Amino acid sequence: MNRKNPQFEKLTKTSLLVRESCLGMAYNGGCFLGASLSCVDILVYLYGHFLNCNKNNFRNENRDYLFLSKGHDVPALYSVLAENGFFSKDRLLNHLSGKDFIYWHPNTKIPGIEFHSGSLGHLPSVSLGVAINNKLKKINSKVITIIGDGELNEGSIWECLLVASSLKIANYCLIVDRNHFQANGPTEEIMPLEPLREKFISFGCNVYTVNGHSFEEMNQCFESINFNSPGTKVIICDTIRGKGIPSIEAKADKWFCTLDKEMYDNLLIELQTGDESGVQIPSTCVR
Amino acid sequence: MDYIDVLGQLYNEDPSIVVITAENRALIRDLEKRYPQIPFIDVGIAEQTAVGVSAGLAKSGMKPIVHGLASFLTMRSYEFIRTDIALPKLNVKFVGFIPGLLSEANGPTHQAIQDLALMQTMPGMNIFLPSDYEDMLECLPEIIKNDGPSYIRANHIRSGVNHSRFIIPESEKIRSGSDITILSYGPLLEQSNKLCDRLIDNCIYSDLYNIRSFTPFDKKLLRKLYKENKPIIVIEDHLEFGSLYNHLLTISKKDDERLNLFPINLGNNYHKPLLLKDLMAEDCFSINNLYELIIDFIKDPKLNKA
Repeated sequence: MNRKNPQFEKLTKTSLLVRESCLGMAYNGGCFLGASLSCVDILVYLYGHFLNCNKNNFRNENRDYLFLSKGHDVPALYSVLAENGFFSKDRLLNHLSGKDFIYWHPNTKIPGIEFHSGSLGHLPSVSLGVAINNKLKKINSKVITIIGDGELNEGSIWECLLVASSLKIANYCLIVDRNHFQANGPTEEIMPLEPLREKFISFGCNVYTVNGHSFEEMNQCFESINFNSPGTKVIICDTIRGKGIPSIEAKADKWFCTLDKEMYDNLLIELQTGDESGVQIPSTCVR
Repeated sequence: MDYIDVLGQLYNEDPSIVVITAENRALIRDLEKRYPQIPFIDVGIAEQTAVGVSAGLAKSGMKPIVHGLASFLTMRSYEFIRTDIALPKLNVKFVGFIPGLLSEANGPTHQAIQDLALMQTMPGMNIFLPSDYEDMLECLPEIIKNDGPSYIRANHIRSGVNHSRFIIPESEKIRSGSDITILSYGPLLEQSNKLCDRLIDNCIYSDLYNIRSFTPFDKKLLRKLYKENKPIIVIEDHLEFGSLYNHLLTISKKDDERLNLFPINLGNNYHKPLLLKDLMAEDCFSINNLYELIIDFIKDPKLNKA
């Protein structure tokens, strides 16, 4: 997280609030905390600075489109949407309540959600359909889809990349939340992805690599890309699972976390100070 | 007028139509040449992507018509259809090529004989069963204009038959007879028609219906069948599980009615990989075999008691 550049001070503050909300959901029934925290800064940057997509233009077809294919990051996405005014932040307290629809994957009952996800490897092709629609209607909007690195195990993504490449679609971009973990362990131990950049290049993509926790670096990268040129853009955002909370950072067994009050309080202090508290967070196996 | 012309007409009425294929071009080979104005996307042999892309287009207000081999369109991309199309009830039409016996000698990999079983489990999915090429052209405009996800069990075999106008979900009465009723669809409709001739030689007269809409089902026909209480023979190129026969059992039970149904279908077996003419001539759907099965059924004392 960049805390020095004044241009991004507001985003840094938003990131902290978003992480607090994610922690709140881990306390309120449990959520995919580790997965969500790696994606927070990417989402904060996109909605807070880069995308032409906000609460007022969400129904306008000329807006930019953001799809979250890595659906478990939904606490981060909902929190970012709430911070950007798509809906009241109080609604996040309805996490897992039967009176609302805030569960462990995104769905279109929540304002700001383009398409539901949960089943991995789907939204690259769904968003490709939106990009094709935009091309047909001469709409010059960016269509961006966030995928997980573990999600790259799904063959449908590579199938879709072949198609996107053949169609030479402009304004179509995949962001990889490269936190180096999938559900049960490091990607390189379970299903090695490297050399990832070269894989995407061989599929005809324009590939960029950036620190997914630095607003400054992300901004330099995103602003340098000509999205309007034909060809799939892939931005590999190097991230850390659990980023911002030392006790759960880069831990294989902290994908999903259910917190009690003591854990929540300690992790909140960790988030605010950056210092490890020593509190024990139990492992939860959900896959 | 062929399939491509029907698409051309539909596009002229509604330019939101977009044609997608997973490299299944049999029905639409010259589409780009003859109607270059229709958006056409061939994603190659990638059924999942065809479905995903169609979801994105439909979400954006387009009306995708997706072509693929029925076996792979329904099974390879099944979860994509469930998740991306059926769940949000998007207006996408799936055209499944060479379903049922039409896979001919391709063997079991290409046999879409559980496609109805699979597709009917998806809430909101409409399923249509044109009996031949001419019927498909008759049904297509109605199906495309009907909002919501649909699966069309395509039939490319020309019969030369002029079919009546299709109104969803009505079935088409092909012939009348007072003794029994035969319900069929797809390539077995023509065989059923020949069967009716053979039955007349033995003084058995049959109603014959072309079942064009599986879901929603023709309620008017159902009421007639309930009232008549005649033996009903259901002849179809599908596994028994998820068949029209099973569908009617379920509907009639829900309606608290009873139908004297006799199933003639593929049971629990893949069919012999043979050309269609040979399947019709020497396999379980030969006229002789169908005739004997029906005679045995209507002689059944249990049926007569009912």
